[in-house]
Amino acid sequence: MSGPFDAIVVGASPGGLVAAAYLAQAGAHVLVLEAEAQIGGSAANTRSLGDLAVPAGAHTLCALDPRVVKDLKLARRGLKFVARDLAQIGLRSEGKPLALVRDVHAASRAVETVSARDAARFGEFRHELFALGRALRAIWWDEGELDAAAHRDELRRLKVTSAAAYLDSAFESEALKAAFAFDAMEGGMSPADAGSSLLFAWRAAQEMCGLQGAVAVPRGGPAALVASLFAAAKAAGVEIRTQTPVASLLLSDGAVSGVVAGNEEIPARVVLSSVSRRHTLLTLAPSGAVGFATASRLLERVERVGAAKLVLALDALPAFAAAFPSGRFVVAERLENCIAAHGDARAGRLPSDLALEAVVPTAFDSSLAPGHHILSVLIRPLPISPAEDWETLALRLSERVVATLERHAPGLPSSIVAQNFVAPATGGEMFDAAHIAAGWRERIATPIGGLFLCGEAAEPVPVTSGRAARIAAAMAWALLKGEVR
Amino acid sequence: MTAELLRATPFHARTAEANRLNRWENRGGFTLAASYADAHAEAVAARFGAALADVSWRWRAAVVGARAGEFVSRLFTRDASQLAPGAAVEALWLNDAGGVRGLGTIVRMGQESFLVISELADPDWMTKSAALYGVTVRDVTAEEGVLALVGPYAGNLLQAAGLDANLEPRALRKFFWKGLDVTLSRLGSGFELWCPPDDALIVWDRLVAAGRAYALRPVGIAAMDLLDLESGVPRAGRDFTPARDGFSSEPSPQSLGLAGFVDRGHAFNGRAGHLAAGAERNLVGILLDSETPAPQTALMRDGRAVGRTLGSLNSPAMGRAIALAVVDADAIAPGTALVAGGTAGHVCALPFLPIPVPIPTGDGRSAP
Repeated sequence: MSGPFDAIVVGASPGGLVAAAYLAQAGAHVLVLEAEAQIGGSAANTRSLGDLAVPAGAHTLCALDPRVVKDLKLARRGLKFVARDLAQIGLRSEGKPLALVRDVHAASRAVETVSARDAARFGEFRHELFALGRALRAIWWDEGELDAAAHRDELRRLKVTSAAAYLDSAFESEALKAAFAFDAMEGGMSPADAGSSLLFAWRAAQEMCGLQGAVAVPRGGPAALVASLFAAAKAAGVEIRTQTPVASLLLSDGAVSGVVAGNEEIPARVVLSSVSRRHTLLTLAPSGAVGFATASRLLERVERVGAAKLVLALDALPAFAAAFPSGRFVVAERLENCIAAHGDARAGRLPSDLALEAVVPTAFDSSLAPGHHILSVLIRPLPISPAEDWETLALRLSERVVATLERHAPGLPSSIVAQNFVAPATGGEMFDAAHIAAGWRERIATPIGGLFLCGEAAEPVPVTSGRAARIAAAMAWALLKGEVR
Repeated sequence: MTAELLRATPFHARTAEANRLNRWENRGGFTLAASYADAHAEAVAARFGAALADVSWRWRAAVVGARAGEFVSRLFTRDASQLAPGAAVEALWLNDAGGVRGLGTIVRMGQESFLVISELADPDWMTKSAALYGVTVRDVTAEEGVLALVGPYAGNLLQAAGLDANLEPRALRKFFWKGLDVTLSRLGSGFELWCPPDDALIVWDRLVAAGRAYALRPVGIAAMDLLDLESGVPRAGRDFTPARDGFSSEPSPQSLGLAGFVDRGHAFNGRAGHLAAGAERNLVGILLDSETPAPQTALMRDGRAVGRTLGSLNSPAMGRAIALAVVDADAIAPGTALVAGGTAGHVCALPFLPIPVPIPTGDGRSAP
């Protein structure tokens, strides 16, 4: 089965596959073009770790759209979760880890060890945050509007509130605030940025496995999500071509009319791009296709702070994971240090203080690496284009990260059998509070008619979700059906 | 523009000598004579004889690069990439949403180079957008002095000075003029003579010497502004405030009556916004019974607003206040009575007065 196609999807990342599957299910003839040999983008197992392969992106999922799971029947296509609710655990240099588990009473008892005052407030804090998160699903789950004035006011307030100020007003304990430091730097934001408090509300609005604000891990890792999406896309009749990079977009009269891939012109009425906004609008689209002001803004707003990933293959379970198998372990000193570190990273320097999030997926998924353990560590905030190149920094940073984790897992260095370092991704656009609070159409639609973004660039927060893809597919389908011009 | 030092034009030594009354004005960062004697008399002289004005202050930017043609084609509302070398076109440039950022003249200098001339500089916009095409935009305002020669006898004067004045409108040609490299152009209502700063005083002296037979007089920018307005030419900065944001759709070419500068079929930046902008308003002249109204004064007809005024001045040649205005389609008929902020007036067709175009040379007519 080949051409003519109604829609072309650029990039077979989870977002691209979701958009393709939705459009094909609706009845469109869809072609997905992937530059790499393997589909899945950063969720695919492309990095080697000894005999194993691991993804370049996060090991966990925190924002997968429940409607995507349902509509594309992903559970029936092999998506099973082995960890449904990883507890947020702050590892402290001295004292017991701060286990902020779902049970508010248990979490309060843990907080009690650092501050009685914060322990008394913790329940109320989470209750209020979750209530707000549920209300904000109207704008973050679909193209809805907030109906209660109180929630609109709260959203307005958070848009100008930094994560640091938000935590400061809630808690007094540095250890407790530090446990939130990693989440406060999602998307390269600084905890001091206005609007970074929205990251907490956004996280609280998510739902994994039916649990609000949960972080989950599928059996087989994120690659299992890719496999189930591939099955859904195939079942719907999507054609996928790998090793076919899209060279440029074809335009006629200001609207997209197809793509050029591998010396071939492939016509299509709509194109959905799961790659970055900058790559789509500046590299793929011909010069002048988007306005000068738009293009200049895209060029200027380069993301400078990102996250790296260090994956270790171990022959022993690290001590902290033995104590809490289903945990995501946050190591951060103080929130203020993270703010200073972010400034360093923005200036291209390797910060002296870093925030880490460690997960041991093998602690709950024995199928992943029989006989071994995998320790996956995300590191923030890091310069995307450092003064020294990442080749040289990688080794230094890896040693530092291992040394930091060794304090919580004695004997860690000697248990390492293999390791892989993934440098921060380049080419993303600057992410800010305005982006989180913008409407879906604003993030998905482009100045070029018939061209939509469906990847992480169109999400409120750049993580794997599939929500932008689902909404982009609906917009593209409405255009194909002639419901909108 | 940021505050910077006031610069002298290459002709300053001569203009200072002629400017007995010491009336100066800052235009585009340059010191210019506002008027040498009586601005009104100067404006009238430019209509009947020949007048010399220093217009070195006008912003000029060189657009150079392999993709310069592609860039100017996208930048301006008329396709300047189709121009032959030495030819010029007047056009607008719009922001992404279709708001007018500027109005200027684009001259093709060569295969890969263009010159943009405008009364109001917009370097940031052009530099940033040119970078998208790998094209450079360089401010060349200070690199050449420019004199405007206006009036019916401007051509004869140039002929007498030894320059071939047989140049069609909206064209530019380089000359080797008795040892000097100069450029002669007809981009506005008269001629413009361009020269390197070092030759500026010689060029001034030669023109003044040749102009004696034509009663040539230096005129200040006040008189030039008046000629502009009487000719019905809208100017950015005087008649409208351009959009300074990349994404605001105001002012649209339609709202300023500038839609005539737009080739709707051409693919330019902001086209979608322009096509979506509201109904076209029309640029007309208003003759007023008493003093000049402030810019953007509402024009009322039978108690209903039908338009707004743009720039206005007292025209000595017409003996009354005149204003450019944009009005709705039902108020464009000459003679339509309107009220501008308490002052009665009526619509008249543009230009208010015939543009003082040079009499074609070599047709037997000679100096008075």
